[in-house]
Amino acid sequence: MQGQRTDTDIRNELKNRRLLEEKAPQIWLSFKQGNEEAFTELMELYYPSMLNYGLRFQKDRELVKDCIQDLFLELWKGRNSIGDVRAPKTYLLISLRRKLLREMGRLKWFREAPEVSDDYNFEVQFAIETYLINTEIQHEDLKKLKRCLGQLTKRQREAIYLRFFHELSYEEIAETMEINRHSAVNLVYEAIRFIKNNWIYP
Amino acid sequence: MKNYDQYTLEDFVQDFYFRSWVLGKLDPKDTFWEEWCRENPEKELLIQEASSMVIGLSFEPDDVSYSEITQVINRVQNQLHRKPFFSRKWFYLAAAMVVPAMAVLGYWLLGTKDTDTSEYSSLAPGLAVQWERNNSAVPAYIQLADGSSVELGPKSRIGYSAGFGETDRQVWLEGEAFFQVVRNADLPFVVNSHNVLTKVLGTSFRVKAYNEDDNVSVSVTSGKVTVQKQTVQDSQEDDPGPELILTPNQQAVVSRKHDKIIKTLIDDPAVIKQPEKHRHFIFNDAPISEVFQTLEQAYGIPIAFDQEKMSKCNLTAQLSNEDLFDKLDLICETIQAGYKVTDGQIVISGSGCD
Repeated sequence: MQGQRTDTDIRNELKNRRLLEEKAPQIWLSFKQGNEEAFTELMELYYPSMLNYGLRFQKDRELVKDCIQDLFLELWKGRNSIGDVRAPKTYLLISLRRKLLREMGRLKWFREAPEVSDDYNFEVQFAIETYLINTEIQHEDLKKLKRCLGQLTKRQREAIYLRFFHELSYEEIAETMEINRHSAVNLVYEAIRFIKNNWIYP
Repeated sequence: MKNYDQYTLEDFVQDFYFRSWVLGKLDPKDTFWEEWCRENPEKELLIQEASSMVIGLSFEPDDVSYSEITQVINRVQNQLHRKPFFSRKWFYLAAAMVVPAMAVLGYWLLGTKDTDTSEYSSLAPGLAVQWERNNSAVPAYIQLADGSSVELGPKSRIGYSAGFGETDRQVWLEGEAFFQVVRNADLPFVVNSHNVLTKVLGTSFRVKAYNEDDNVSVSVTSGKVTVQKQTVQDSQEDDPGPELILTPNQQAVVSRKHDKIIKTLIDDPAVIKQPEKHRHFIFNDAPISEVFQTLEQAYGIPIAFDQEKMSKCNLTAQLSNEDLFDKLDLICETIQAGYKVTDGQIVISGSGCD
């Protein structure tokens, strides 16, 4: 189900990610002290995660790219006024989410009637869907799973995406989605229970 | 140790260690889960179900190329360093700005209608905004905003577009320069020189376009380059003329007066890839087709010859120290043949061996 990637690829990727997470606080500190190399390293490390998250809200890759770019610029300019950050990745994901939703809200305001709500899309690509497309196996079970996944709410999708793709803790999910921890736990458990009841034990 | 005996389906799905195992991300030496399954056979179904869930809830990563990351980093850095556009050469930049400034002043004071407001205007009609020139006797090294570098020859000058590195990567050249271009597939790097366009995505090459020369020449060190001649009347148009593709060791010579582009080889082609079989060009009674193939791959230059006619030709020689053309001279002498360079290729002629 991992497509063309070999086990070695995945292991290397995981190893790199662990190294990265260990180094991250150090790099962040260095960046805050005005080290431009650390800043570049930060962009290199987190751009893929940020792009992936951004694309869930907005399919227009260029718009997401622009937002990330602006975000980094603001980050550098305001580096002295950033408070304590426990996990740089979460901080960046939160900032991107806010910026992107604001930006999309503004675009919407110009295009349509103004509207105040947390009305946004969150489109994920489950590995299973790609698998179905690639193999054209018309397995009843998998098709059923796909239907179930499609029935999750967008907030459930976002919560399990942050949990299982970015490996965030519940505190971090709560912070990112601007909800409380309890709601974050609930969203993930609801999603799992829904799949369990409708797919595993229908 | 976690109390996995008590775990429910939901707990397993949430467990990072379990998920890593299911998704094949654990070290193969780590056999904890295999052992645990053996010791807890009654959990087999639960483990199967939990595994299906984990796989079902995994996501597809996006492909992010390294060049995309570099592009974003470059864009951010360009904006941070907007004021000092180049890392060096403020002096030359200032000197280049003084010339048009004086021309404008002269125009203003004298009130003439002279169209020659800037000596560069004919080169880049209103498109280039920043110029640098090298008045010294040695090449000057310049770092561009996109990370590419230019070795600007003596008595040469180079101009940049207003949006260089952001909206495009266009430069104007008069004189000679060696470019090492950072790859960026979204923004082709274009050198304009006397209506000759040299376009690349990322590579290294040299352009010679002196005012007093009749020809503009472009030679390639690595990568692939396209060369095009613009017709004068529609110099702003998008589609000027046919493109010539150059690969390493090839050179284009473009006549400025006539619509003529000649593809040839550079004077001293370099080995771009050491041959694996005949290392150091040592041949021991080798069929001639193998010899030419070795040269073709080592220099990246196509070699054409009549395979049938020359099927009986063999070569025993050590050709490590000679340059390409000396090698060809020696080979041709041995097999009683001749060669010429046509259209960036080497064509061998001869009647074969007995």
